[in-house]
Amino acid sequence: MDKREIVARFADAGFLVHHQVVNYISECGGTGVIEGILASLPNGVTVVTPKEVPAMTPLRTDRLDVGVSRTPEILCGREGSSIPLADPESSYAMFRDRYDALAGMLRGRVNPIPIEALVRTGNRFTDQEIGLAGMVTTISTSAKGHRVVEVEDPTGSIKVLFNKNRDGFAEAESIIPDEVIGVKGQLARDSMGRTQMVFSDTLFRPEIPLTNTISPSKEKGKAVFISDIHVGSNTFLPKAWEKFSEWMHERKDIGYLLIAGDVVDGIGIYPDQDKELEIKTIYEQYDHVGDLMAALPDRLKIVISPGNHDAVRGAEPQPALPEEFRRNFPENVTFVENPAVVNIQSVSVLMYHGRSIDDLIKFIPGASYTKPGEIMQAMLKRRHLGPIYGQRTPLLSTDKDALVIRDVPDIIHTGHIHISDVISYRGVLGINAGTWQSQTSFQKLMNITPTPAEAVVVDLFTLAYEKFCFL
Amino acid sequence: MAELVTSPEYRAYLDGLIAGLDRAMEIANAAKSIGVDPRPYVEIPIASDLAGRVEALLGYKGVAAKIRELEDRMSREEAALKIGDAFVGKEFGEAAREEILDHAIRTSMALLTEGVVAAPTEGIGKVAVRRNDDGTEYLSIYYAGPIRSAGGTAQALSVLVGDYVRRLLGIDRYKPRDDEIERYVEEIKQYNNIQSMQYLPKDDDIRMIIRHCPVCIDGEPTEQEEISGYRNLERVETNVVRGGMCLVIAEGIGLKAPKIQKNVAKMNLDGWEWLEELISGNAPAQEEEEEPGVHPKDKYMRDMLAGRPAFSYPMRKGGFRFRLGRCRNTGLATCGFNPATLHILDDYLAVGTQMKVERPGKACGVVPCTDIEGPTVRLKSGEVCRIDTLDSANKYYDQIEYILDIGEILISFGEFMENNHVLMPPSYCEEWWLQEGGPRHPADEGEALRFAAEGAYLHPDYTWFWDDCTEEQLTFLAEKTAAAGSMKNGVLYIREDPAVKKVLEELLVPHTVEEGSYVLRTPLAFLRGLGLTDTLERSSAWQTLPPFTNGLIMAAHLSGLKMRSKAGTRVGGRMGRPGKSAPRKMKPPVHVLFPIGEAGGMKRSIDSASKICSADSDENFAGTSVTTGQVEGLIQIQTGERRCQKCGAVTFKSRCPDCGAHTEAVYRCPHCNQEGEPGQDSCPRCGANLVCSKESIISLAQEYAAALKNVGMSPSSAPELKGVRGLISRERVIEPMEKGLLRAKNTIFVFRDGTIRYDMIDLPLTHFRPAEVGVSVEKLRSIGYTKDMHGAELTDASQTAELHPQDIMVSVDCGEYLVRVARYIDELLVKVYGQEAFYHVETPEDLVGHLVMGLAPHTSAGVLARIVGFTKAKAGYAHPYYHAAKRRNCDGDEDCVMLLMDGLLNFSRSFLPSTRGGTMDAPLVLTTTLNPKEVDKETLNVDVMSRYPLEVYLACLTYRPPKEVGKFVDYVEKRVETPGQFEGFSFTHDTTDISEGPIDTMYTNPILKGTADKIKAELGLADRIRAVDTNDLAERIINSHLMPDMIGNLRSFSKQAFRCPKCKTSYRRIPVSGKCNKCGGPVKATMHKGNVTKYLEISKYMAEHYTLSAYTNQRIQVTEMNINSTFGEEEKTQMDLSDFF
Repeated sequence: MDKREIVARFADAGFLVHHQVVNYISECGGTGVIEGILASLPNGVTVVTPKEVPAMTPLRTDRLDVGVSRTPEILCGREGSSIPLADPESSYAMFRDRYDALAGMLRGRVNPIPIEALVRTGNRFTDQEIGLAGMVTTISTSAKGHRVVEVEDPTGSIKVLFNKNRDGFAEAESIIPDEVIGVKGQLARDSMGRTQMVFSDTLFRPEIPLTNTISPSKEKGKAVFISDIHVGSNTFLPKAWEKFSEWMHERKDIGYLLIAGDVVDGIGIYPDQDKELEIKTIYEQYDHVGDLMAALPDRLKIVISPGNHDAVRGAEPQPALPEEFRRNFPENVTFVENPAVVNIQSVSVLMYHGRSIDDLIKFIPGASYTKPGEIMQAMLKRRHLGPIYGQRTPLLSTDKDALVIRDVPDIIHTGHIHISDVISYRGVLGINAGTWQSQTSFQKLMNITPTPAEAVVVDLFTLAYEKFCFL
Repeated sequence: MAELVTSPEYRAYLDGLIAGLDRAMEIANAAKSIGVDPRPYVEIPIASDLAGRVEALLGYKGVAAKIRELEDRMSREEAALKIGDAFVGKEFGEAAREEILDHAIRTSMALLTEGVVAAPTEGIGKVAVRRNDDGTEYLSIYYAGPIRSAGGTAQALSVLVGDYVRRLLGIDRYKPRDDEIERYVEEIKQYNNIQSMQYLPKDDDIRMIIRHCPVCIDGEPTEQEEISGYRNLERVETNVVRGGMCLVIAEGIGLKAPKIQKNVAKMNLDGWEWLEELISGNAPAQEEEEEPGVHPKDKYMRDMLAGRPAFSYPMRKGGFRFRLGRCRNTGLATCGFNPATLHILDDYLAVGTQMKVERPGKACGVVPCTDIEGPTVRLKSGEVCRIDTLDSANKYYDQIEYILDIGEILISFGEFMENNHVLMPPSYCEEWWLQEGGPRHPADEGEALRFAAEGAYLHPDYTWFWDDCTEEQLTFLAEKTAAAGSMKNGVLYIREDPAVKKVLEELLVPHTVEEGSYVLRTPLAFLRGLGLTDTLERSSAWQTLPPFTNGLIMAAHLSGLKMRSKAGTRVGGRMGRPGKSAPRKMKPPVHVLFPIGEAGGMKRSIDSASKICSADSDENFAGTSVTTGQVEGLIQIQTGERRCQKCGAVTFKSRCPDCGAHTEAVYRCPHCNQEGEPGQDSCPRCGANLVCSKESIISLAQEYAAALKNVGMSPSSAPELKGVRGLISRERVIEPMEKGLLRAKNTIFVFRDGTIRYDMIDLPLTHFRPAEVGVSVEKLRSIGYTKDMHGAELTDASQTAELHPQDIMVSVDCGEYLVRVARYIDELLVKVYGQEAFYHVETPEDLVGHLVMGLAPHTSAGVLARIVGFTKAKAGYAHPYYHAAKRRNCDGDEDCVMLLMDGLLNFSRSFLPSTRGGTMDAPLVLTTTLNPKEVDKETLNVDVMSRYPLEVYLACLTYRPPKEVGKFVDYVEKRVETPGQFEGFSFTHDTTDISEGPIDTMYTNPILKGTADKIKAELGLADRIRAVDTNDLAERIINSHLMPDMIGNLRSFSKQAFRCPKCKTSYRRIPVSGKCNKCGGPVKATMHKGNVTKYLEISKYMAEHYTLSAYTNQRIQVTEMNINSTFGEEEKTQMDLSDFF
C-alpha cells in the first residue's frame, strides 16, 4: 500500500501518524489493519505511534484479533479522490501512467526495447528477435487479411503485423484500441532500409499471474452483490425488491451488501426518458432508494458506487454520490467512487459499474451481452477495466489511470448490462450482478433479455457463491 | 418516343432555346480547340430527353434509341427491366457478362431516377459473378454510399433488374451461407448505430431478405468501423461496414417491399413470393379507429432549435388559418402568407424561408400572397384590428401588444394530393361564399345581412369566430352587452370590463377602446349572433335554443342566419431553415485550380507563394538539380503528367509550353512505372491502379508573371489570387493561371469542377408581372413575352404574363454576380481563347434572355434555363417543372445556377475528385428540354385552375380524401401529353409582388448576437402570440437543443480527439508521449470548456423566467453539477500533509 495513502487515511480520521507505523502498515500490505488500529485507539491520542499499534508492541499477544475489521475499508476510490486535471492536454499523463503500470507487468516476460530505438534509421535490431511493449493506437486489416496494429510507447510508434496463419491469431484479433500489449517478433525493413514493422511471433497481455490463487477471509462472513436497481423507472420491480428485503432480514449470516451503481434511473439519461419514469425528480428517486436501504437490516454494511444513471458526472472515475442526495440514506451506507476497491474482511473487491462493457462487446470478436463473464475475463487479462478511449465510456483526465487493475482483486464486481453471470478466472471471482428492472423498451429494441431480481451471495470464508432469484 | 406535344408558339420558344445553346456550343468548342483546357472540346454532353440523358450520363452508345422505343410501348418501370434484354442481346457492344450486368443495372437505375441523380454512376461500385457452394454461379452487386440519392424504390428495383438480367444470362441465384446471413444482421444493426436509418428491419426480416433474395447485395466499405462478430468470411471482401449495402436492404427492400411486389406481379417474375410474407409480417398493427377529421399533431414541434421560433401550436386558436387556394407563386410545397403576417411575426419568415408545418406536408417554403387575410392584433391602446397590408403592418408594428390571430396560410389542393392528406375545412372566404349564393361583394354590413336574409350564407367579412367560444362565454357576452351596452348612430358601445374584452378577443371582432367603452363599428352581425335586437334586448330565439355542440351553431340559431366557420382548420407552424442566396465558395475560397501546397499559407495566396524563399527549401529540393540560391518562388507540387502529342514534351500543363499543341494525360503504374494504354485502369504487369502523377518543381514567380502578362495586368495592380493546396482529381490537371487572374479581377470564385456558381433557395412561379421582376416590357417582348396570361398584348408593366417552364427569375444579388461572371467570360474569350466577347453585359437587365444552367446538389444533370428577371427576394423563382427537373421541391431546397458559357468553357470532368461521390454536383449532362413526364412526379400534382368548384369546398367539410374530388380539379397530370402541359395555367389567388415582405430573416440578423440573444428574441415573440405556449416552448428548446448539446459536448469532451496545430495530424487519443508522434510539436485539445458550457447560462435564465417542469429544472441542475465535477470547481492550491512524503 502506498505510504502517502496511509498517511492520508490517518489524516482523514484526524490523526497524525508516526513513520514507523507507516512503514509497518506498508510492509504488512495494509489490508484491514488501519480500521482496526483506528478502532482500538485510546482517547486523547493525536499522533499514532508504535505503542498504539498492538501488533507492533511485543508485550501484547492479541495481534491476530485486531487484524480484521468488520467495517468495509476503502482501498481505492474514496470519496473525493478523483480530481480532474486543469487542461485536457495534460491527460497524456493518465495514459502514461497506464502505460507505465501495464508495461511494468509485461517487463519480465517481454524485455521491451524502446520503440524509438527500433525505428531509428540504421539500428542494430533488424531481423532480430526483439520485444516491445506498447499501447495500441490503430488496428487495421491488411489486404491479405493479416492484422496490422500500430502501437506506441513514450518514445515513438511502430506497426506490428500479426500473421493470420499463425497460432494465436484469434488472440490478435481480440486486440482492442488503447490496451497495452507486449510483442516478441522480428523487426523488418522495407527496400529503402527504413524500419517497416514488427512481425509478431508472440503476443503478451499483462494478465493475472498463473500463480494467483484464491485467498479467502480468515473469518466467517457473507456478502451480497447486486447492481442496477433503477429506482424511479416504471420498469423497476418493487415486489421483487420487497421479497429480497424480507429475505435479507432472515439471512442473519449476511453482513455486507455491495451495489455496483445505477441505484436510480436518473433523469435526462436518454431522450424522452420522462415518459418512462415513475418518479420524475432525481431527489425523490434517491429518497426512495434511501428508504429501501433503511428498510434493510441495520447490521448490514452497505457499499454503493455510482453508475451512468446516477446524478454524477459520466466521465470515469465517477465521484461518490454527493451529500445532497443522501438525506434519506441510513448510517450504515458507505458511498464510494466508480471504480473502487473495497476490502471486506481482507477480501478485496473491485467494484466497477461497467460502462466500458458496451465498448468491449463492440470490439472483441464473439463478445456478447449474454456473456458478461467473458468481458470481466477480458478486463482481467488486460488488467484494465475499459481501455478503449473515445467510444461510449467517457474518461476524466486525471494524473493516474483509475481504471488500471493494479493489484489483483479477489472479486471483481460489475453491472450495467442487466444480465447476471459469475465466473472464476485464475483465482479471481467475477460477478456481474444483473438488475432490479424488467426489460426496458430500449432493451427490447436491442433484443436484450435481462435477468432481473437476482442476488449473488459470496461466502467470504470459502469464496464460494450462490445465486438467488426474487421474481 | 413521340415528339413532345406543344403549341406552335411553345415550339418556337423551345427552338429559340436550342438555337441559343447551339450558338454557345459552337463558340465554346471553337474556343477550347486551342487546347489550354484538359480537353480541347466542350465536356458537357447535351440531352433533349430522358433517354438521351441516360445515354449521356452513362456513355453507352445506342441506349437512348432503345429506351425511346421501349417507352412507347410500356411503363417506365417495365422499360427499366426490359432494357436488360437488349444488353443481353449484346445490342450495345458489351461482351463480358459482368459488363452486361453492370451496364444493364446502371441503365435501369438511371431510367428510374429520371437520369438526374448520381446513384447510377456513383451508387454502384461494381458487379461480380461468384460461386455458390454447390458450384453454381450467382450475381453480386456492390453498392456504394451515393446509392442513397436514388431513394428506396429505385434502390430496391435495381436488385430486381439484377435478378432479371442474371436469369437471362443463366446465372443461378445466390445461396447464402449461415454465417453470411448473420453478418448482414450484425452489420445492418451496426450501420444503424453509426448513421441512423429511416427504417431498421427486424433481425428475422433481414434474415428472410438475405435467405431469399436471388441476388447477393454486397457493398463497398463506406464507414470507419469494422464489424466485430462475423469477420473474415470467405465471400465477403471486407470487415468494414458497407453503408450502401445496408441502405439497399433496409430502406430499399425492407421499406419498399410493397412497391417491389407490385412490379414483380406486373412482370410475372418468380422467386419473389417471400415478399408477401415480409409485407404481412410487417403490416403495422391496425391503428385504432380514429374519428374522422384531423387531430393535433406535434411532430413538427420536435427537435426545436434554439432561435427558430414557433408561430402556432398544433391546431391552436390564433394559429395559421388554412385558406384553400394556389397563388401564382405557391404549390410544389410552398405556401402563401399575407406579407403583414410575415412582418408582424418579427420578420422571422422572410420570402424563401422554410417553415415546418403540422400538415398537409412536413415543411413548406414561405412566399407572400396579398389576397389572403393578415393577422389580427391587440394594440397597446386596447384596439383590436386586422392588419392586411405590409404598409399598415409597418405602421402598427410598434403599437402591437398581442397577436390574437396570425392570419391565413394559403395551401393549394395539389398539396393535399401530393401528401395524400385528407381535405379539411378551410377558413370561410369570399370565393366560396360566391359559389353558395353570394351575389357580389357586399358594400357594407347592412348589405351583407340583407344577402343573408335572402338565403345566402353570412359573408365571411362579418362572420366572427363564434366556434372558438363556449356557450358560457357567449351567454355572458350577450348579458353584458345587453346590460352595459348602448347603440349610437349604428355604433355599439360596451362599458369596459376585462372579462368582456376577453370574449371579444376570442371572437376577433374589431373594436377600439374609447372613453371607457369598447366601440364596435360593425355591430350588426355581432348582435344578431348574440341573439340581441338592435335595441340590445334578448330576442325570442333564446327561448328556443336547442342543445348544440359549439358556439357557431349557437350563434347561427340565435341570429337565424346561415353561417360557416370563419376559423376553418388551424395549422401549426414553426421556422425551419433560413433561406439562402450566395455565391458558391470553397473553403477557403479560391480563384483558380492551381496547386501551391502550403506555400500560400492559410489564404492560399499565389502572390505570396511566388515570393517565398522557404526556410526548409534545402530539404524540399534535396536530390534535385535545384540549389538553394534558386529556390525563391520555386515550389514543389504534385501534378499530373501530360505529354505533347506533337513534340513529345512532358509537362503538367494542358497546352505544350514548347510547341503550343494540346497535351494528354499519361498514366503509369506507381510500382513498376509501366505506362498504361489509353482506357486501362490497372497495370497490365502487376495489377496496381494506374496514376497520373508527377512531382513538378515549378517557378511560381515565372508562371505568375507570364500569366499577368498574358491577361495584360501589371504586378502592382494585380488582384490577390488564391490557388488550391493540392489536386484531388485522378488526372491532377491544373487550370491555366490566367483564368484565376480574370476571376480574381472580377471578384468571383471557382468551384472544384472549374465552374462559377450562385446558390439560391428554390421557389415556384407560374405567372409574373414585368413590374415585379425589374425588367422593362420592351425587353420582355423582345424575348417572346408579347402576350399576357389572358392573351392580350403585353404593354403594361402591371399585366400578368405566364412564365415559360425554362425561364427563371434570379435574386438581384445573383444578377449582379452573374454580370461579373459574364464580364469574366468575355475577357476570358478575348484574352485567353482569342475569340470575340460573347455577353457584352453591363447591367443585370442585359442578362435577360441569356442562358444558364441549373444544377442541384447530389445530382449530375444540369437543366437549361433562361434568365427573364430578378427578384428582390433572396431566392430563385422558377417554374415548377424546372425545379422538378432538378428533383427539388420548394420546401427549403436550394441549388445553383451558372452561366451557360461558363459551364461549357470551364467545366471538365478531369477536375473532379477521384473519390466515391466525386461526380455528384457536377454537370455531367445538360437537359435542354423539359417534359413533365420526365421530371419529378411531385409536379404532376400542381393544380392550375383559377377557381376551385364548390364540390371541393364541400368535400373539405367532410374530410374526404383529395383523390375523390380530383375530377373537379384541373392539375398538371391531366394535361400531360397535350399542348396544355406547358401553357394556359391559372391560379386562384394573386399577390401584388412576389418579393413583398421581409427579405432577410430575423434569424440571421446580426443584431441578434449569439444563441442567448436569439433565444430571448424567440421567447419574446412567443410571449406575444396567442397560439404559442411560451413555457412549453422554453421547455422544448431546452430539452431538444440546449440539454442534448451540453450533455453531448460534456460526453464528447471526455472522449475528444487531439490535433497537432503544426502538422495537422489528428489523434483519436492523445499520444502517450503527450507530443505529436510525427513532428514532436505540442498537441491540442479539440474541445474546450467553452464548448460544453456555452448554453448553461441561458438555460438557467430560462429556468428562472419561465415555468418549466421539475424534470427539466433538475436536468439543468444536475448538468451544471456534472459540468463542475468534470472541469473541477475553483482551483485548490492548499497543500496536503501527504504531499510531504
